Amino acid sequence: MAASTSVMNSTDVVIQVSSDDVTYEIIGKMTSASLAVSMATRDTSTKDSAGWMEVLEGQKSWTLSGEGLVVYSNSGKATPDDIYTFVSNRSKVYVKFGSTSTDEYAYSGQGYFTEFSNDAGFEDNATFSFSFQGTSTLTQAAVA
Amino acid sequence: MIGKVIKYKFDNTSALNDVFGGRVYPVIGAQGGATPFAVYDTTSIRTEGSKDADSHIDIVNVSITLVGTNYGTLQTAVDDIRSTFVRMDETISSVEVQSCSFDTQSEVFNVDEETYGVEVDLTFRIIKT
Repeated sequence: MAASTSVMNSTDVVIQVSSDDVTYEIIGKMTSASLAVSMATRDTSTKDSAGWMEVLEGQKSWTLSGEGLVVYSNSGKATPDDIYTFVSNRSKVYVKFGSTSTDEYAYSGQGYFTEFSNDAGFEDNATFSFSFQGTSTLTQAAVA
Repeated sequence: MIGKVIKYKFDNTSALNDVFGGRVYPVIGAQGGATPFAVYDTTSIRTEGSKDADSHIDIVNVSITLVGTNYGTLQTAVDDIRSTFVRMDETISSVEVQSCSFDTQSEVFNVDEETYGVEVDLTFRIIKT
């Protein structure tokens, strides 16, 4: 079966984490998830560039970020305290970003949670957010 | 669902029941009926969902209108409503109220019926999952 031809529902896009690349848990109660992939450039402008900046390819990098509602007891799901533990222990973590449906595309790799915040206002939902810095290759593949 | 909570609290809080005596109605009250009475209605519901569920918390805005001939009685009732509902954390008739906050109060006078109307707006946080 091929990937769906209709526009993907963003609700289906989740972030999964794993310590061993075997057992993955979806981060629970998330309200947003983002993946950003970028490539830096090298400035190769010279006196011959006629005033136009010239560049060549550079390093690639990727990051993840997300937000959610704080619930510490959420069976089968990764919770804010798990993310804090990853940050606190400076753990290298396996992650997957994308739908869990077969044949949809997902991105996977390794990296570190670099930021975790927990926001609690007044008569409002307690929320959390995080940033994740990928290291080395980000792999794009259809979900098996 | 929030109506069950409001009705229960009015009927089971002595300060409110002494005044309203069970005359607590959803949406509309009978014209010319015994006073004072209270009418409650849900003005809006905002869901607080995530990728896991449609809503974990419903933010329910409720308007309670108190109608009576004695202005002072209604003012006291407003205080009693605030002390009864605000910051409540209780499950009533399977409705799990996490909290409640007071939003605003407004007043009118009906010349024809010679009754005061005091509207109290509350916001409830209802746990869904």
